This record gives sequence, structure tokens and C-alpha cells, in this order.
Amino acid sequence: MLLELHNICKSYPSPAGGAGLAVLKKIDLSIEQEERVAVVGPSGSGKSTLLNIIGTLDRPDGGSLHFDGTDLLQFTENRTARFRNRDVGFVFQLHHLLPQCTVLENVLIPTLPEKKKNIQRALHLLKRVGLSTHIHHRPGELSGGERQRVALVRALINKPRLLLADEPTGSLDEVSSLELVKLLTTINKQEKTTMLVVTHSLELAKLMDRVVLLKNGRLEPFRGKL
Amino acid sequence: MNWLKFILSSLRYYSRQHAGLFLGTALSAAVLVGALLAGDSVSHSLQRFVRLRLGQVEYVLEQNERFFTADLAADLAAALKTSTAPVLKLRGMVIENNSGLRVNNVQVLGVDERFWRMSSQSISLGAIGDNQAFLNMRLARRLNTHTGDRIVLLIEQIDFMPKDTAFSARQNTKSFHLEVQSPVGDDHLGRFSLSSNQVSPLTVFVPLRTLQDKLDLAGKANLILIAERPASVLQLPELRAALKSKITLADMGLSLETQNKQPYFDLISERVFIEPAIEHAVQNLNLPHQPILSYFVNSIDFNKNTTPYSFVSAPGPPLVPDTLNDDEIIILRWLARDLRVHSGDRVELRYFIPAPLNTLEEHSAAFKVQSVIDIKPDDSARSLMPRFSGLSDVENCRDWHPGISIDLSKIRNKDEEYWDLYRGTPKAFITLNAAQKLWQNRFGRVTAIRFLLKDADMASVAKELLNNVSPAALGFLFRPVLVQGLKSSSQAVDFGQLFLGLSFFIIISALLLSALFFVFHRQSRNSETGILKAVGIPPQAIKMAALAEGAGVAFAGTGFGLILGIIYSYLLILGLNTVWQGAVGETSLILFINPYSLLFGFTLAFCAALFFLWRALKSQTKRQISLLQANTLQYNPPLSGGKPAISLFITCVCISCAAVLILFSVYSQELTTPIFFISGTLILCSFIFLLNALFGYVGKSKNKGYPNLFTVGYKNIARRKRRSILTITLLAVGIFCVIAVGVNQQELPATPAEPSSGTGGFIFYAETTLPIIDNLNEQSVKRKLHMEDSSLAGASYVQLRVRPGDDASCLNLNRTANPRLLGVDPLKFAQRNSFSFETAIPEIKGENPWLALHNDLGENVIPAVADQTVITWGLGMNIGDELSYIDEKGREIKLKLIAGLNSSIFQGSILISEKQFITHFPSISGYRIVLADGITPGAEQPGKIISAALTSFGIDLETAAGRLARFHVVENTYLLMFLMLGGLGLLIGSIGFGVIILRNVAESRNEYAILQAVGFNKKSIALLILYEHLTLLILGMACGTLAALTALIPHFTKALPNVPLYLTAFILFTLLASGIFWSYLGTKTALKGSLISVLREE
Repeated sequence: MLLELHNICKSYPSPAGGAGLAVLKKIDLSIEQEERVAVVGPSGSGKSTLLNIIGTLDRPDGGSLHFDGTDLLQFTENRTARFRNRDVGFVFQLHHLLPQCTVLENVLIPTLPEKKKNIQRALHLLKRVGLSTHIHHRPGELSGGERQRVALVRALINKPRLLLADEPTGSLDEVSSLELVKLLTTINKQEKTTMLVVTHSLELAKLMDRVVLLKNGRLEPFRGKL
Repeated sequence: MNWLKFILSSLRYYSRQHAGLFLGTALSAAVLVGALLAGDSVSHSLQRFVRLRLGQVEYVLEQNERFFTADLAADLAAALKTSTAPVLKLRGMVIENNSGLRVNNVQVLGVDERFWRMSSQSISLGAIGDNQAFLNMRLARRLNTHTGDRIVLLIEQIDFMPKDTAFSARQNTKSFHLEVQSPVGDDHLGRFSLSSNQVSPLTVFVPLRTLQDKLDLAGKANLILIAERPASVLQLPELRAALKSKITLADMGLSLETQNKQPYFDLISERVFIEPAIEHAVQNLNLPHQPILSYFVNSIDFNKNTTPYSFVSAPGPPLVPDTLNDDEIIILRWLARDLRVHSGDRVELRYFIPAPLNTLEEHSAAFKVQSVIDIKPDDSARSLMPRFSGLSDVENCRDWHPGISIDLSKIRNKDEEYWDLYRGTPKAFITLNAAQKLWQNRFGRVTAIRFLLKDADMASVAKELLNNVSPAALGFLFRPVLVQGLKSSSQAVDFGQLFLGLSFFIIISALLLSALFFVFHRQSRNSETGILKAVGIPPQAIKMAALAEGAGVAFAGTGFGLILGIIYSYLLILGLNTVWQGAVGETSLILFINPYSLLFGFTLAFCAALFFLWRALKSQTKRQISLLQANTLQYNPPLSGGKPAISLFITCVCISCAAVLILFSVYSQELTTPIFFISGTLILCSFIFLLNALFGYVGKSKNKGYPNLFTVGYKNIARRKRRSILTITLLAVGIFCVIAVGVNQQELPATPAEPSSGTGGFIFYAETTLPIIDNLNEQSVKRKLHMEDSSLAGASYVQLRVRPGDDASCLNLNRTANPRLLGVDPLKFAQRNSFSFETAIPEIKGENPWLALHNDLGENVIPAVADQTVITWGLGMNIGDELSYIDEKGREIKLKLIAGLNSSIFQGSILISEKQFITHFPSISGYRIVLADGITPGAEQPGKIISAALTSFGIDLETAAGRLARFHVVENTYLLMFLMLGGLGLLIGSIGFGVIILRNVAESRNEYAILQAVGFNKKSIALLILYEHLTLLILGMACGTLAALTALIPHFTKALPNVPLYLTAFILFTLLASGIFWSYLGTKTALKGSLISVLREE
């Protein structure tokens, strides 16, 4: 088992005082190596919160989180950062590319802590996503779909074991979304990464090995029609 | 991709956004570096002035009241193998012929070619005629003279005999008509002075020979300048040894005179009385000698017979045998006949003894006639008469004009006959012991020493005597003026620190502004921080990268700030030379760029900027990644009220403490500025905490009823509580400090005639160029000087002796080690309860410090008082400390500071008792400071009469209150500088206020969009924005101003509050206008374009 969540809870304090707003209520989730899981659910159900907790971008109020047998919640800040750098790749709804850096530089941002830069890998990945001719362009010179592809390459540059995608097609038009979905699944297969995707896109959810529904703070298998 | 590339990319991309940080750090660096350079410039200028005023002079040999031969200079030059120059240094007055403009207290220097070669330029100014003179630049400007103009120079006629002796010549001035040549520039010793002061003296340079001839001082000088020796350093022991080997009896005012084939020769002094040091040296020679004391008596009486105006002498054997008792007298037959007296009869001698203020007390002494003798009217007899000026040098008795008043009508024909035959031969003889009991004084105990040797031995006696006399004991002292001057200037007021302190607000405001720009910029890059964290870059690395980026901008800004700093320092120096000249006196400072200060300033400014950036970054990277990525600009602090109750409690405590202090002050009727300043600070704190509590309550409160624009605005203020409180606090603290400190000006006493005030109750303060020997309270003196006007009917005068020295007042930037000494009769001040003391040593607790000036503190330790500000700032000392001086006998004396005066008219001087003054500086005759009271304050006539009466003494008269005000000018100038620079800092702070406004509106654009979407028009939204920000501005200004007014209550209770209202109002108005401008600009920016599109972007 690559990823194990047990009794994960998360709530946010109420501005008016009193009891907080419980977003995640005792979530259990296990993900195998190379498994692809989609998390669906209504808006505001806590999907992104769950993803952020798994990616150690946020901390749960309770429960345990194990990655490959290691308790992630016991990590120090630097250890957590190293985990995110080496073992996790993020793709967000908004690409969050750095406007001052070129495409190649953006892709290589996760390699900053390392002395050796795997430029060949970056060029190879960019070629695979069809952006080899854009490596010296800045994000401002790319379309939305192209930016998201760069974000995808950035997420994969360090060969992460777990790829987390939060609404990766959320800000794209239909054509770009389809393109990205295809790329995501193809490259993921080739890279043999485990993938956890939060999505509203049925096309994307269909391509996953497993779909789970987050509703009322609880996680359950999705039994609906895709 | 590496960190350097990343940082450089970010710098390039965000260069415009970094403009604020760049300019903020540039400004703070400019002010910091500028302050340091200004300090260096002042310091450099002072050091330069030392070189300008001394040229190549390293040492001086100076005699204040004695004259030696000018040839001594040449002899010393040969012995020391360096250049020297003899100078006649005197005080005088100058009158410009055309305009009649008169300048007193002028330094008159009789110089020759050697003097001019002492300048740093080492060139000659060319030949100058006997009736020509050079003026220095300052005097030329004061008199407005040009080449060819004519002046009258007035100098006191020199008498070798100290003026305080009864028989010195009456005061006369000599006048010189001189043609002015081109003024002497600073580079040519135009600034020459032996006093450490940045202000150039007023100097007239006259040919040495001319001055010597006109003043009957042929071949004399009283100052020798000794130049630095390039080959090797001159040391004091070498100088003293050279002087010892070259000094002659003539230099000491001594001469050995034979008496026409008599088997003896006499040692006499041009000062008439032979100093104890000489007498002691003679005794050490173990040669046969006889001390002689002769005196001029008013009369010798027997019964009703009287012989007027005669000399009585104690010449020793053979005239006075050893068998003569102290109460016996031997008289000439001429006298015996005149008085019809015989052996065994008792005669009475009547004679004058000088008392203070040149009053003469007549004393008498009775002696029994032991025998009557005859002596030949030869030179040996006549030589017993001392050479009293006005007595010994006239042909007839009726031509006598000694220093004392004599009634020439008493002189009879037989007296003239006696004079024709015997001249000044003494008519009577007593023992030396008896004579010294009657007539010895501080100038000496003998008027001649007779060596009972042959003439041939004269040379060897002279040599032996010179070997045995210490020149230092006669006041021949070398002063290392160059070292003293450089030391004095190096310890001067540190203008660097001063300007740093005064510019403190500007520096902090600029740094805060920089940090503010940086924080806002980093907030706009929240998503970048978030994504870097998300991809696993360690937080510390992200922080360091951000800091490095900021550091890059700060480095460039600080570098630019160096250039601005040079400009700023130039402006500061320009300010000191013009509008702030009150702080430095009539002088011209020059800009000096010290590379070390540039480096230090750069480093300090850069490090300060880095610190502020680091502090600003601290909170940034701690935020959760999800929040960082959520929205870059949205500012959504939790609506937490914090703990308002604690803030309220602190408010109550502060107000209570302030109330207690104010009540205590009012009750005790001591409205002291420090108490009210503390009260003001407490009031300010209470305001801030009260607002903090209010905002906290608003944050927690639930709305009742419908909200309106004002409640929305108020909630916005409370929502951004920290930012709002910070804005208000910065404004309030800035206003409070600037106003409460800057307007804290020293003012004149409310009642200047009050004895305990700084004026001592005196109406006029006057200094004279020439000493006044007479007692101005004496009716005869008033009559003589035409000071009997009715407006002066009740006037009384206190006169003080002056030993020249450095000015230790706040008007002199240099640290002085040798302040001017004033000798005062302490009883005069004690009786009047004049002045008041701030401090006193514990040992004199309960004593009147004035009377404590008479206390015996041990050998060569003298009690002294001075203004407390002089002690602390001028001398850098505390009460109880001791100042070292060398007296006229070459002894080191310690002046112990027993008490510190409250700010007084004596600032700059040290006061000792007149008795001690006379003991240690006997040659300094007369009084040069006159204080007058008993005059109606504000009346002009008395001042004019006194000035007219004492014109010939070169009087400079001013009101005592006016003199006190001049000292306050320095402190008030510093406060004015603080006010101006602090105000500038506030204005910079207002830019920060503007930045906050722009930031607030940028963050709230979506809120404004929502308001517009739900139906509010742009005008309403504009009102909301204005209300919100003007509230912050007004709250900040109100808090600061009210607190400042509390601190200023003592000032407003005075009859004439000296508050610079216009400047204060200007600063407040400008701040308000600036705040309104920024609020308006923020409003316009917020409502620019379509707000609805903001919602669409959301």
C-alpha cells in the first residue's frame, strides 16, 4: 500500500465562534502503487482539502497519514518539504507558473534544491507534451492549455511516486481539457506514478482505476453513472 | 536553473514593483550617510580651522602680562633648529575713520616677516609700511573696510608694573592711525588664534617694530611661535632646555646695575617688585647679598609737623645696622630738621596699601627714631628709590603722576629742593623685617637685591642666577597648541550623532516604507511562495531567496543612497552655514566626504534594510500553503477581537498615571517639562490601547439593525485592526515626538530681574577690552566717568576679573580643556542671592555654594563653579571633577567643580573666588566684566550712559537677558532642526500612509465591485473609502496632537510661550493635506475602470 489515510478529520473555525465547520469526518482511504484514483463530490465538500492533506500542504486535525509505511504527520518541516519535492507532484487548477521564469525554468523549479539538474528529462517531457519549441517562452506568451501542460511537466520532473491533481482541467476549455486529460493519463502510465485526481470532469474520472465520492465529510465508493 | 538565475529573473521581472523598496532604502541610506558625512564635515572643518589658525605653529611660549626680548625667538630658533616668530599680542579697539564704526575686543598682533612664513602657505604677504596694517577677513567685513581705508587702533599703554599695584601708571590708551591693506585670508594666518574656537577672532596685524616703538616696548615681545620641526618631533623637555640655555635676565625683566664704583651691584626688576621665585633663586646662590625694600609713603609725621610724599627704605647695612630694632627708624638729618625731631622721638609713617577694586587704604605705623644720619646725595643713595612710573622719571615733584592720587599742593619748595639734590633718596630707613610686614604684597617682598660683590663678578652672577631660576616659575610656559587644538576639535560636538538623532524619524520612516513596499510586493507573490513550498522547496530556502532578492534591490538602493547622501550632507552643511548658523556661530563649514563614513554608512544602511526585510518576511512564509495559493491579494484576517478587556485595562492604568502626575505637578506648583512629557506619553499610550479595544469590540460585535456605509467603513478599519492600529500609532507617535520635543525651546526667564534667574537679577552685562582698575561703585569714580545720571542713581556694579581662555559655552563646538577663568567676590552674589544652582557636591550640602568658593580644599586645589551645561557638555565632566591649570608661578593648580549653576550668563567660563584668582594670577590686573543692577529693566538710557562712560575701555554692553538668550539660541536651533527634520520624517511617513491606502483599496476592489453590483453608486463607494482612511488619519493626528499638547502644558502657562506655532501648524497642515491627497488618490484608483469586471475575474 503506497498511501494510507485513517480517521482523517479536518474542520475550520467558525468566524462567529462556537463549534467549527467539519469538512472531513474520519476519512479512511488506501491507495495502491500505480493505482489511479479520482475523488469526486459536490462543490465545497472538501475534496481539495483532502488532496492538500495528502500532499502535506495542510495538516489534519486528527487521524493518521502514511506513505509507503512512513507516518507523514511526524515529519519535520524540512523533511516534509523533501517528501513533497521527491515523492509528490502537484497539478493545480490554476497553473501557478512563475511569470518571471521561462517554460524550461518553470519546469526545473522543483530541481532547485538539487545540485544536479536533469535538463534532459525536462526537455524530453516538454517534447512529449508538445512544447519543445516553447522552452524559452514565458507563461504570459502561452495559452491556458499550454500553461497547464507546463505545470504537468513541472509536477513530473523529479519522477514523483505520487501525482496529485486538483481540478487540473478546471480552468481550461473543452478542447484543452481533453488534450490535458489524454496527456495526463498517457504520461502517468509511462511514468508509472500513482495518481490521485480531484475532478468534476467525467471524462477524467472515467479514465481512473477507482472513483470515490466525498460527501458530507465522508468518503465512499462512487456508485453513480460516469 | 539555479537560485542565482531565479533571483536575477525575479529582479528583472519585478523591477518596477521594486521601485518602492529601492527608493525607500535609497532614502534611508541617504539620510544615514548624509548625517555621517555632515558630522565628518564639521569635524574636518574644525580640524582644518586648527591648521588654519595655527599654520605651522606647534608650540607657543606665551606671557600674558610680561614682556621679554624679541631676540629670544631667534635664539630659540637656533637652539631648536626650527622656525620661530616673535609676536606682540595685545587687546585693542578699532575705529573705522569714515563710518566711525567701532569694534572692541580686537586681537592686535605685532608681527614681522617670520610670522607670515608660519602660515601653511609659508609665503610672505609683502612689505608693509610702518603706518599700515592688515585686517583679517572677519574684522574687514565687520568694519566694511577696503584697501586704503584708514582706521584708528586704540591700545592700552603698557606699564611693566602690574596695574593692581598702587603705583602703576594711570590707565592711558595709545592711538594709532593706520592705513588698511588687503585683508588677510584664512590661508595666511588670518584666523590666527591660540583659542580653540571655530569662530575666527577679530584681528589687526601691525608691523612689530611699529607697535614696539609706539608702546615704548622696544625689542619686546610677549609671545613666541615655534614651528613644527620636520627633521624630528619637538618635545617639551627639549623646549624647556633650550629656553633655559637662552633666556636672559632681560627676558625676565631683570637687570644688574652697578652703582658708580661702589663695591656692589643691584638686581632690579622692571616690575619694581622682585618675584619670590627670583628672591628664592638668589638665596640659593649663597652669594653675599642684601634684599632691599623701598616704599613711597604719603607722609612722615611728628606731632603737628609733617613731611609729605617721601621714600622709606630697608636697605640693610651699612645704612641700617643689624642692631636696629623693627620698631626703630633711622632718619636723614634733612628730615630731622623738617620734623624737628630727635633721637628717641616717635614718628609716624602714613602709606597706602592697595585693596580690591583699586581702592587704597591708608595705614600708619609708628617708629622710634634711633638715630639721625647724613648721606651724600649720590647715585648709590638715589638707587634705593624703585622706578615707579610717574615718579622716578620726572624732573620736578610737581610733575609727579603716579598711579595713586597725590595732592601736589602739599609739595613745598623745600621738597622740590630736596628732589633736586637727592632725587628719590629715602628720607628714612627701617629694618627689612619691619618693611616687609608693612609693604610686601603678592608681587614680591623686595624692590631690589644688592649683591655685595665687585662689578667684575656681575657676569658670573647673572649666569648663576639664570641657572637657578626656573623660567616656568616666572610664567614662561610652553603650550603645545597644535596638539591641544587637534585634541579639542577631535572631541568636539559630534554632529554625525546629532544629525543621526535628529534624522531618526526620517530613517525609520524610510525603512518602514521600504519594508511596507516589500511586504506588499511579497504578498502579491503569495502564489509563487505557495507553489515553491508545494514543489518541496524548503521554507528557509524560499525565505532566503526572497531576502536575497530584496537584498539585491536594497543593495542597489543603498548604493544610490550614497549619492543622495552626499547631496543631503551638502544641504545639511548649507543649513548649518545659513539658517541654522545659531548652532555653530559665525563660521563657514565645508563639505568633506570621508570614504570610511561612506563605507560604514553603506554597511549600516544596508544591514538596517536587511533587518527590516527579514522581519517583514518572517510572517510571510509561515502562512499555510493553501492560503498562499488561494488568492494572491485577498486580505482576510480573522475577525478576531483579540482581548479588548486587557487593552481597556491598560488604557485606564495609563490615564490614571497621567492624571496623578499632572495633579501632583499642579499641586506642588512645579510644572516641570519632564513630568508633562511623561504624562503626554501615557496619554498617547492610552489612546492607542483604547482604539485597540474599540476595534476589538467592533470585530466581535453582532450588528443590530441594518448596516450603513459608515458602519461598513468602521468595520473595515476594525477588520484590519493590526494595520489600522499600526497606521494610527505611527502617525501619532511621529506627531507627538516632533511637536513635544521640537517645540521644547528654552525661553528667557519670565522675570529676568529675579536674582535667582540666569541673569542673577542683573540688568546689564558688559565686557571690556581693557581692564577697569577702579571701583565703579565709588562716587569719585562715577564722577570721573560721568556715570552720575539720575537713571543710574540706584545702580550698583559687580566687577569680575578675567583670565583669558577658551570659550566653554555651547557657542564653541570644540571641547575645551582650558576655559576662561573669572574671579569674583562670592559675597557679592551670596548677599544678593544671585543665580541658582542645579547641582552641588555633597560636601557643601547646606552651604551657599558661592561662599563655598572660599573653602580650603588643600594645597593648590581651588573651589570653582560653572554652568551645569558647561560642566556636562562643554567639559565632559561631572561636579566633583577637577580641571588642571598652570598658574603664573608655573605651578599646577586643580580647580575642583563644587557646584553647577542653572543656565546663566556665565556660560562658557569657570568662576573662582577673586582671592584665589589674585593669588595664582597676580599679574592679571583690573576687571573686565561688569554686571549692573538696581536699574529699571527695559530702560535704554542707563545702558547708553554706561557704554559712553566706558567707551575708552572698549566696552561691549548688552542686557543680561539678551546674553542669556544668545546661549539659548544654540539649543533652540538644535530643537528647530529636530522639528524640521522630524517633520520631514512625518511627511515620508505619510507616503507610507498612502501606500497602505492604495494597498487597502487594491485588496478590497472585489468588495467595492460587490457593492456596486448590489446598487451602490461610485460616489457612495468613494465616500466609504474616504471615510475609512480619513478616519485613520484624523485619529492618528488627533492622538498625537492631544498627547503633545499635554506635554506642552508648562509652556502654555508661561507669560510668553516660545512655541514655534507657525512651523508646528505648517507641519500638521502639510501632514493633513498629504493624507487627504493619498485618500483621494486611493479612492480614484479603487474606482478606476469597471468594477464589475473584477467580479468576472473572480
